[in-house]
Amino acid sequence: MLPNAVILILQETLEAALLIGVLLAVSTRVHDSKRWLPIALVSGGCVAAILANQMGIISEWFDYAGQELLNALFQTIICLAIALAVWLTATIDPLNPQPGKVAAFSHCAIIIIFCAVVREGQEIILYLGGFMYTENFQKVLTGGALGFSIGASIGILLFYSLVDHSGRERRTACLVLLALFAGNMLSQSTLLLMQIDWVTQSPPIWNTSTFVAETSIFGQLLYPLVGYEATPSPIQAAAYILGVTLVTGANFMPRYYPEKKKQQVQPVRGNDA
Amino acid sequence: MNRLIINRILFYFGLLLAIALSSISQAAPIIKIEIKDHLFYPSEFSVPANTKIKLLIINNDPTPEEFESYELNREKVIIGNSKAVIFIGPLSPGTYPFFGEFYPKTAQGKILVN
Amino acid sequence: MKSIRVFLVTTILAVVTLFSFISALRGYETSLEEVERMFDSQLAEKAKLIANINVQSVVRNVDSSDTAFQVWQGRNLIGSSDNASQTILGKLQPGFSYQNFEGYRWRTYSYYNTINAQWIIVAARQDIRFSLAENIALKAVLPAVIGLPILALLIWIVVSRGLRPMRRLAHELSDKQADDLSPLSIAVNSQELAQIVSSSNDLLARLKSSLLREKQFASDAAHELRTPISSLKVQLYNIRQEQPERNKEFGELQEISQQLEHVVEQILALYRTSPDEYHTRFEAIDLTSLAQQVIAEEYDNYERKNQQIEFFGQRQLILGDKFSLTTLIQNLLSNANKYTPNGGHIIVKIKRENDQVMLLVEDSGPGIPTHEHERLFERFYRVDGDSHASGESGCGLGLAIVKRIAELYDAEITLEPSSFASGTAFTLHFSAIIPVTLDSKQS
Repeated sequence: MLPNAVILILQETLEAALLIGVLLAVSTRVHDSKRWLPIALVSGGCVAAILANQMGIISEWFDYAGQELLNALFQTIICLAIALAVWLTATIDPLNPQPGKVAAFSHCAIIIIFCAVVREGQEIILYLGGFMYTENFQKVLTGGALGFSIGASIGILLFYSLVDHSGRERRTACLVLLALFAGNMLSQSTLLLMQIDWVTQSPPIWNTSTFVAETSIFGQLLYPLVGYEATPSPIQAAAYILGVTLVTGANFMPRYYPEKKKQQVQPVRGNDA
Repeated sequence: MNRLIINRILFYFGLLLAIALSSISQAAPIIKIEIKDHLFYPSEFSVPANTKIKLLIINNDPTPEEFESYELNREKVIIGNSKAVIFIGPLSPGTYPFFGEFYPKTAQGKILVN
Repeated sequence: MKSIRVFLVTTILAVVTLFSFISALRGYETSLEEVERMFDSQLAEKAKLIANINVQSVVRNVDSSDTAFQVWQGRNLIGSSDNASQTILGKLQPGFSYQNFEGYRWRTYSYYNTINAQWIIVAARQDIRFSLAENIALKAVLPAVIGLPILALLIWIVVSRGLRPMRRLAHELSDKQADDLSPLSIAVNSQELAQIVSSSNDLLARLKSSLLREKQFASDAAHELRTPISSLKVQLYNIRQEQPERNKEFGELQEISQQLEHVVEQILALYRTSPDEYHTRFEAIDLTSLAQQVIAEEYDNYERKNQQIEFFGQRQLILGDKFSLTTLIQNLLSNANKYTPNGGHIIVKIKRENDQVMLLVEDSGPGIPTHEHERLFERFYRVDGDSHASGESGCGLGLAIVKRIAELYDAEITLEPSSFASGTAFTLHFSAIIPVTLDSKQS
């Protein structure tokens, strides 16, 4: 029971901790208030509890495809919100942040963390709820505490190691992590669509399970961090690349297509002046 | 300028999704798996290769279970006393283990594809 | 703003958690494996035992239903425990495997007895076995989990203690008055902070000496300027008398020299008022009569701008020195006079408030926006720079001098909108003298 609880909760925590750590590190550049974090955590937790409670009904939607569709929706929203947040941070002037863009960034951060917490939270709640009132509850809770602490610790260390680096390095690291995360989300959402046969499954393009098995500790850590999959199908890989491109594109686009500054028209002086 | 490009990306993304979704699901053979006391029944069964299979999983336990398989890339929570549908395949011949992530010590099984 | 304490506590805790929990998990896994291996060898022992006692019938399981066994000879079940079914429990292959039957998952061991060609299959319920094994393994992990909050508390206390000298230093620095340039008196016994303290003390000393030099220079320069300015004035007066046809130009020149003299006097007043010189010469002074005197002296200025000036007050004694208080009132009043438009209103009020004497000067001028209040008392600062709407010239020293003198008396200056439609009210609170004899005189 225990190692299983550790892995299950660690994976879910790690995903959220990674996102929170990177977004916090990014937001130091934006100089926003960090109010979005508690808002997203609390609201996400509440909605996760409601969804976990109603999972029986949700699962039956669309001919037993409701669960997958809901999760795929959350994952797609996370991917798009990450791209938008990255675009905003790339265009915000850190010396003179535009209040509108800072507010928009906070909203993106709320959406990202909210969706992530709802997604992770409902699984944790269902899992722990199933063990409540059984003799295994203590073991599962212990395992959950272990998994949560390990995930949170990795998140904290990630945040401080990101913040410790200045400027360019930090931005590159954050961008890479966010891009991989967005790719991961999009690829997982196509997987969910395959699971309900909305997207046709095709044979995997490669099999790396001999190098890094998904069951190994390394594989278990890589899965939430970069979305490691030993046997991805071509559509999954394409979705992954799309997610990564979307986010990196959002970062570099403002550089090549800078916003047109409103030029002040110089008054033409008349001859009589 | 930016908005135009983002719009275009979103458009292509939507197009891709629409094409993917348009593949209408053909009637796939159904295999019923029942969960009772954190065990799968049947815990071992064979399916033909290169065929899409519809797994109908019925959880008779009051507690939720998560059907998971790394080899099949499948993961789905089935709450207590309810049923769920998972599509797998087409698969190449081989053995595909699956397990219940919430009770992995007992809920184990494998699919033999041949 | 990052907190060093939060950083240290969280990162140390994160590192410790990561290492202790991962090693606890490893410990858990190895002890689990160990116990399972032990159970497996017990199962094998059991199989061999059954082979030796040669069971020929259904045997009642005495104390437990979590193990079962069968004895097969070829295809015939020749003996079993009563909880075993008639179908074969495990594989006819020597060794361990897992099987599902009777609604449970079982660990089975198949043993082939070569002597009588019998298969002995022993099964133990996996869930019970695992639960037992896990209970043992859990004991290896629990201390680490329970210990973590205690560890967190200890780390917090240690880090807080370690940072205490730094907090004390920060406190001392923030408590320092703006004009207090005395060295830091904090005793530090840590290498890192000793450096900071000695560097700041160096800095303070240098700042103090340079301020002193500036003060000295300004007051010397002003003093040196006094003589040439007065001879300039005399000369100008003489020339004006001699050349009445250029009366206007010389009149203007005279006014400029008047202003020049004023600036120099103000600078001198500003630097002459240093605390140690003054308190020794303090005497009881009636603020009211002093204010009335100043108003009377400057009355021309109000008349010229057609301003109405009102005075309310009774005899109020404070401990002070006549020159500085006169300068203070003069500056406040000339400030009101300058920035109140023609036909405006000025009120001066002196009132006793408990053990304080309040001096209020309010005008119906344009008022001062709140964001300017802070800088208003800086030297050479003028609201809106030199383009003030009043068109008045000034050197921007007046209010700096007011503030400086107020500081000498520990008098608090407050700035508020006046009771008129617009305008500013300056209020100062001096501590009053409360001798019994004076009180009886007043009543």
